[in-house]
Amino acid sequence: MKRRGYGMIVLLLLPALLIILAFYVVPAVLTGTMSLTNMDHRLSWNFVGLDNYKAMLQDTILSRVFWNTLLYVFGTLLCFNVTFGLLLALATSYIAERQAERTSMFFRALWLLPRFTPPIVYGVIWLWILDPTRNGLLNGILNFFGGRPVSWISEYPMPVIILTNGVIGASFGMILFYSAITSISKEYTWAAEVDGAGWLQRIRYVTLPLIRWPLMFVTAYQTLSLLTSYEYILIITGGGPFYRTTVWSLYAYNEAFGGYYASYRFGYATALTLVLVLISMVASIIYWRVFRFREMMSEPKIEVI
Amino acid sequence: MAAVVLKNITKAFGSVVAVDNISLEIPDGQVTALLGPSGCGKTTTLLMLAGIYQPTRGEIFFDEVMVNGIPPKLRNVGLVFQSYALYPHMTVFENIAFPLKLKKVPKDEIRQRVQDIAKVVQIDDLLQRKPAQISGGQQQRVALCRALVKNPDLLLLDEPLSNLDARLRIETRAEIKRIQQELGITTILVTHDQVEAVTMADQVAVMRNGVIQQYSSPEDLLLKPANMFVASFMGDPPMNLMEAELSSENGKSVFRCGSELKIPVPDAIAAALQSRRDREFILGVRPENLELLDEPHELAVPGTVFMVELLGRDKLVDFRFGEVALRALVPADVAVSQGEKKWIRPQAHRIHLFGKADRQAVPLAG
Repeated sequence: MKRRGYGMIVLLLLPALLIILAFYVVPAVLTGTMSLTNMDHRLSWNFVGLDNYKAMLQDTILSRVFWNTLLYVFGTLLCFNVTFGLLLALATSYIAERQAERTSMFFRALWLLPRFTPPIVYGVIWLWILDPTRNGLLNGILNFFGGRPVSWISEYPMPVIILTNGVIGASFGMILFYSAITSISKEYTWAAEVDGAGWLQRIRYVTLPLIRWPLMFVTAYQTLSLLTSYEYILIITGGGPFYRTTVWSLYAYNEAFGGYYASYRFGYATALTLVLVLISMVASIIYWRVFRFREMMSEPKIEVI
Repeated sequence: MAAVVLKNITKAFGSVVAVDNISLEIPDGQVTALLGPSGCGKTTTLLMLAGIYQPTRGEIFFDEVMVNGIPPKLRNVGLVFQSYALYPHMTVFENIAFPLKLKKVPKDEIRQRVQDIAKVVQIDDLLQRKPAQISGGQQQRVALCRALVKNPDLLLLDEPLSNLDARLRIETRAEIKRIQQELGITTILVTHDQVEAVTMADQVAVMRNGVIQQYSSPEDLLLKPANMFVASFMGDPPMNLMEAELSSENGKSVFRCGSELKIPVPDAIAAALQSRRDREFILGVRPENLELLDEPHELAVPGTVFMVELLGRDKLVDFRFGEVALRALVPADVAVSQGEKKWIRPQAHRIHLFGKADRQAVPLAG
């Protein structure tokens, strides 16, 4: 009986195990191994020990990439993915509270649009908005008011990539925060009103503390996903001008697959990605400790009696 | 402290009318209960008093000042919710201090006032705990403190006892009453529990489907129900209610109830009914107003005991007359057993009659 149950468990787990093995464990091992080679466009496994890691220490561009990454991740996080997402959630829940559920839904759907748009289309839309000539949307507007065209992407590359990623990223926080806010029992809201709280005081003293788990979760989760995201940067700035928007993951991508740097340095690129994994792990551990996620796991995610 | 007046208040949510044109005068410094089954509009009325809902029509006055449109924070009311709604992230102290903090009361004064009110309610040793770390009864007291700490003109209690166990309920009932009398605060209590309303309130408004059925002292609710709903809602065990047709037999008036029960009509009632045209009524008599006799009596009906239930201090004796049941409540030490023959005499001045069509009480002299 016991033996049969065991066989059943293995049978049921097997498909998932195979998938993890094929698409996670094997690539991970290959990546780890590859980082010990100086593989290039000839794709030969030529082992060089820790040379790639030593090269990283001498890579003068890498420190710049590191700071870019930090600025990009926390800039996007603070301006958009958490803060703006929270503002959207508060605004739409305020609208919904005033018996305009449909209006609220419309705005939330609107902010979800960028996420549904294919990245390349989304990127091209931004390229048009930010176009340095008068044909660009922003410059067209500037021109209408008599301003001179601005070369947005080359003059403000970092704000541009933070903005373009943030507009997509905010919707994630918005959805989670909105559902957390609306699941707060109405009686808390009423109690706060009777106790004398205005809208802002209610948010500060009641709403925000009650949604602190979703807030911390979104912060941690989005940090990790921003650390590895580069596709919109690749499309919009390509990491330029001159590495000014090259973040760690994009740097690794460019080292491997080129872009206009055309390097095909697979060995070095995989070493870079492994270090990124390390950075992500350190970040996760810090969040786990600082935000006391162990408590979150043992409690309901939203504090409602 | 404030006297409260509701004038023709209606509250509709879309097409659903929760409160239908009610008017109430709530005297200063007393406890008034809004009593009724769930969905009768009593909590909606309470939330309108707090300012959370605005009435669709009608006016609310606190001490002759109209408060329609005045937001909750400016009404100076204290509200205790059924779920208590204590902020889980704040300590007991912070919960109670919250209304004062929002009023920007100086810190020292906050500390003093919180401690004072906590002492009255006897939770002064719990101030540093979180709500999750104290019992339901203690949470209830904290909620009461939070409502009282700002010296409200009006204390609103929404089902304050329904989340407590039976023993605690009796204690807390007395406790709230004590605090209310100590502070002399006008209190409005919403409840579905008649015992709660009757024991705590100076006057009770019974509500049903958004309409006030009767507004009177607790005694009058039991002794002089205004209509059949109040009669059947109030009292435990419930009132015996049956259709009764006034007719005469051998020169004497009787109520014919079904095919097998004939209740002799006392003279006073017969006189009171003389001027009325209708002959069909609903007759009601509470189980405690039925006397069981061993001998025949001119106002008693003979019956055979169908079942006896022991209810602690009392016995509920069940008689059947065809489809009509009569239940009498007698002290537990009265010897009565199944199958025994008894004479049942309703106390003449405790017989209630309601019009068959309108279900309103028929006035009977005395």
